[in-house]
Amino acid sequence: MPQNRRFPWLKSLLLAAPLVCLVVWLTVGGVKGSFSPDLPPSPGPEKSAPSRQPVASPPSFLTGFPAPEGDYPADRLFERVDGAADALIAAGCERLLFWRMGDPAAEMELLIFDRAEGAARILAKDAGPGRDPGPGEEASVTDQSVFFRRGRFYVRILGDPAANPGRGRLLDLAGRADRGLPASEIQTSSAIPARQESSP
Amino acid sequence: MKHRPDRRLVLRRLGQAGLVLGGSSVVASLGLFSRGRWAGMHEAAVIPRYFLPAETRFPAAVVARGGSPAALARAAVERVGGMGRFVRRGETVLVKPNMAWDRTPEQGANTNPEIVAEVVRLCREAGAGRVVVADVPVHDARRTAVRSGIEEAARHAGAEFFIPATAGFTLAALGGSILDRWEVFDPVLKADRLINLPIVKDHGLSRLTCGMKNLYGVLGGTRGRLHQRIHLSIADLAVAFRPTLTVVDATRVMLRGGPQGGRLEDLLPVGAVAAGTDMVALDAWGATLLGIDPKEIDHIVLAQGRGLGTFGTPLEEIHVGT
Repeated sequence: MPQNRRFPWLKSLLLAAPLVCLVVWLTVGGVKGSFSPDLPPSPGPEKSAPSRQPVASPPSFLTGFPAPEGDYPADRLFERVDGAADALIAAGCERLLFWRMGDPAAEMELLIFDRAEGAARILAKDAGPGRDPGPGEEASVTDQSVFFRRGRFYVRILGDPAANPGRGRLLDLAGRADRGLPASEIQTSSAIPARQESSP
Repeated sequence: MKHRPDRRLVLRRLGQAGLVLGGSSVVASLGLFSRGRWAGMHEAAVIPRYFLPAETRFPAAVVARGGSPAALARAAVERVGGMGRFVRRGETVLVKPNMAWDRTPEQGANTNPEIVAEVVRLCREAGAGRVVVADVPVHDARRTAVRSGIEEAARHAGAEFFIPATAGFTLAALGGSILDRWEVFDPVLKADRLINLPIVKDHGLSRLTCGMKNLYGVLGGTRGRLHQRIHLSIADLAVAFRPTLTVVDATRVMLRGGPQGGRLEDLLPVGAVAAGTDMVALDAWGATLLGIDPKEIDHIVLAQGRGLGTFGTPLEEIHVGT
């Protein structure tokens, strides 16, 4: 019987292999939550910042600006704009970049759409019909905010009310952002009608 | 040559097979029951019953106008029976503001911190053993707690304060039509009473965020996935976490750009605070502030159908001297 005793563990291993495969299959299925098609399982939140960490950003997107603090692709927009993400995705939003500025004290979001029409639709939703002189192809400007669109890029700048940076400094920031947009990726659309300016 | 069974070999193989089977069971159990639909089949936390039986001698919901945010909150709670009706001596009270956004109080995206502080004071005056202010923000939790002014206001008024950096989550059985089980913020599960402190705002998806929608903030995990059937999930939450009392901040109402907002021009200074036990009536009132017919908000209609309250009757108004 020497040939039978040469690899005594081999038969056990072969017998166990299907069972191990089954276990792996079940485990992977459990981890991926494929048992719950209606409501995917909620992963346990991280202790420090639950499910809110942005993905790694490119070194810079806007010329003259540092790397964004947050970079959210379409499928993670809800982490930044929960509640508004579906409307953005429906309008063709592909990505949202986020900066927090110190001087002037403001936050800036750059929303990148697949087409200019989508960007224009969201600007209209955010700001209503009136337009003001400002950067980009169309802008809505207040003492505390500058929203503008150029092609498929839509930029929202919100001044910090506590710091009250003022309209002039926010417009300066918006102008820098407008000039920093990657020209090769700006796509305009002739289908967007010209806007009527609402205030000087 | 005929093979003769070796007893030692058979025993060794049986042992090996046993080890494989045992190990497989352990791995399979971990894989199956730690996540997914079957998660918590053996153990899912039970949500406390926060709601108290209705008392007909008090109105189910009232609106207070004409005073500071704190004065309005106090007057409204007083009119629906006073905090002593809702909080008993020694109880742990969870106060749940809307504290989701990295915004200052002037931007009207989070509950006014003066209202949070006043409700904490009312709970303490009523003899609460512990008053806990807690929420699960969308934006960076630490920064949101500070910039909203809520952490400082809550602590100064004598409350404990929790965000996900300081407390965990437990899988709980919600028993809803689509929300069956979900991760729930631990401070919520450990409370005897739940006081909901929403702010009235526009919402890009549900159109309105007020009392019922504010309950999203007790959940962990990827809440954005609930948006696929948002009105049903809101109604499920309202049933599962039916609060003891709701105090609605309508001092500044965000008319557009919600829920995160940020533009001061989008706010309407309504200068009102509503309170009551009828969350349907309170949400319906909030909808009217946004110019929306409550019948158009599905979760309000669903919640009424589930017996959480009624809408259609104007709320009693009280005026507070400044």
